[in-house]
Amino acid sequence: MKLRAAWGELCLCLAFAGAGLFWVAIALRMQLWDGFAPASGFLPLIYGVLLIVLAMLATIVDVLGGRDASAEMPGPVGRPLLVLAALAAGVAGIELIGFCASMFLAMLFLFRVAEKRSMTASLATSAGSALVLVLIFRNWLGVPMPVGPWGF
Amino acid sequence: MIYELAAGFASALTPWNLLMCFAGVFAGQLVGALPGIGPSSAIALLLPLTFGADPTSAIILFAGIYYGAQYGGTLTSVLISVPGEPSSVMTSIDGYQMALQGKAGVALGIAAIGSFIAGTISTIGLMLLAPPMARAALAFGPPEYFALVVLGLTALAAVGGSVLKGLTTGVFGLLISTVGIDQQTGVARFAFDRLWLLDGVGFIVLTVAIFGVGEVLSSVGKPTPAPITNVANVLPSRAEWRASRMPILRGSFIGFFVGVLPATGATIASFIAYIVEKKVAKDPSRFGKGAIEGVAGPEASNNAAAAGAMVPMLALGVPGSGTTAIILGALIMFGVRPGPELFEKNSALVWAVIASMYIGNLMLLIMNLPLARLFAQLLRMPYAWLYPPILALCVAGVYSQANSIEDVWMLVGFGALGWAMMRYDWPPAPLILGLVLGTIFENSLRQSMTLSHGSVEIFFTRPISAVLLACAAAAVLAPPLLRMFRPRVAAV
Repeated sequence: MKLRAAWGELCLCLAFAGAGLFWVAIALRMQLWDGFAPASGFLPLIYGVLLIVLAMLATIVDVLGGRDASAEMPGPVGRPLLVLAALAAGVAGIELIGFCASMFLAMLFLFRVAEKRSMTASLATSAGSALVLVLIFRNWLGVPMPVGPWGF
Repeated sequence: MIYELAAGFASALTPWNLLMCFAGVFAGQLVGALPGIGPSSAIALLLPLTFGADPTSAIILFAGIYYGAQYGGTLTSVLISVPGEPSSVMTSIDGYQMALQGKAGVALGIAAIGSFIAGTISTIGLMLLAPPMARAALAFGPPEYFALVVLGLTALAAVGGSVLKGLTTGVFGLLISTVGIDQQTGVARFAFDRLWLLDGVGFIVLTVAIFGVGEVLSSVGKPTPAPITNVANVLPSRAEWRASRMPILRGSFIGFFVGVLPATGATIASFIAYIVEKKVAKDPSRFGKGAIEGVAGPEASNNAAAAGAMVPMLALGVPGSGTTAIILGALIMFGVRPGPELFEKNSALVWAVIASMYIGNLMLLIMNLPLARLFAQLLRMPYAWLYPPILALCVAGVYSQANSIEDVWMLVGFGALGWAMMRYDWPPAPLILGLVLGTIFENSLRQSMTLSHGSVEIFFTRPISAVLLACAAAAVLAPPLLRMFRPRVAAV
């Protein structure tokens, strides 16, 4: 358990350091200084270097130094990953079947499969929520929400 | 000041702003009481709906959510011993014990009365302190603005558990702020020939992703404890009121002054108020076993700190908490620049918000005493029914901002990042603040360097800038130094 938590945190540190490295690589191709003042590449370069240093320090302090024994260990990742996958699938479906249908299906999946709620309640809540969102955003705020092949 | 306040009341008392104020405090109450959603998330979710709306009404709504949630968090502290907000941690110690003794109603009642008194006192403090502070800061030039942004970022980084993690996320926010067209040179940076990246990463996209999607993912699957819903007799007896009135007054002043200081906020204020009450109590052994002073003091202080934190946010543009960082971002989104010029250029907005805080506090008191039982029932609501519609609202809100599906994909990506950050206690607020202040930071650095002909001495030779940078250094260095010396002090 302790090892798994440390690995997750290590990945996060490395992601920040990786972003910093990427920024440094791109910023070095830009102009860094212009007259007396920094040009477009200067601050991205500084931010990138700072991010690498800070992320590495955080890695050393939190991972190599060990976690506080009294700290609460994070829970399992299965459920959040399932919800994230449902959200991604819902977003992917927006341009294919429209916002309303896509969000309805994503919510229905979450209620029925992830939360194991009854079919009737899941259908009613998903349909009601999707309808309210369409009424607010499309009808009230006038946002052109994507529609599917069947016109909604 | 009286004239400005009267004009503020005239604006705040218009039917629409009154409705916004009520909606804000009511929504704040709800999100404080409901599991897995806090004031930051609520404001993040409502940001897209207010895009293009009147800034005064929107900020009245957000401020209402902010201070309304302070009371909503009390419900969970008292009834299930789970603080809705970190600032309610101290309330849960004696509040839950009172609930177990059948005095949940009194605990909530005294919290409501204390919150009203503290909210009113601290709003008076905000009114008296913020304008002169802003006037004094009118002399600020680019180096002082640069130093202010540094102080704001370091102070917010220091609020969380790890300064190092806070600084990392703050720098990551600054890094993201460089995406898009450089406003001064017109050069496209980190856009990778994608049109949708030329405008940069939107404040709404990042805020909704981190505080909406990230919060949902980190709350999913967490069990909700069964609440004590037997809430009766919310009005305290004469003896209970006598025991509470001084703690409320002390808590109000402690909360306000602690809230004004950057890098402190409501959580530290409530800790100090609790410790003070325990120190001055005739019988400190009652604390932790249901002492009403242990509820009155911290509750008053965390509400007072909410208004106190608005002082540096409005007068200097330095937020003292995650929620005020989002409100600051919202002000910038509406084209209003927080800081010294705010009271000069947008005084109507500021005074309307201040006036609405008096009205909102009164609304909270009226709402809480009779409706405490109703709000207690909300704690029974399973999170499973809440989060799918919240996610759909996040998607709709982000899409509506620019009708861009790419923004929605960024929502998913940053949402996953937000979840990972919350999972491993990386504070998300500095990330948002970094994005919000990135442009001001870069512009003020360039202007300062041009003024000084390329010398960094300008930041250290100008007294205000030097003091602000010294405060920023103290905010970063103080926590590790205190940790280093604490074992030695304890040993003495």
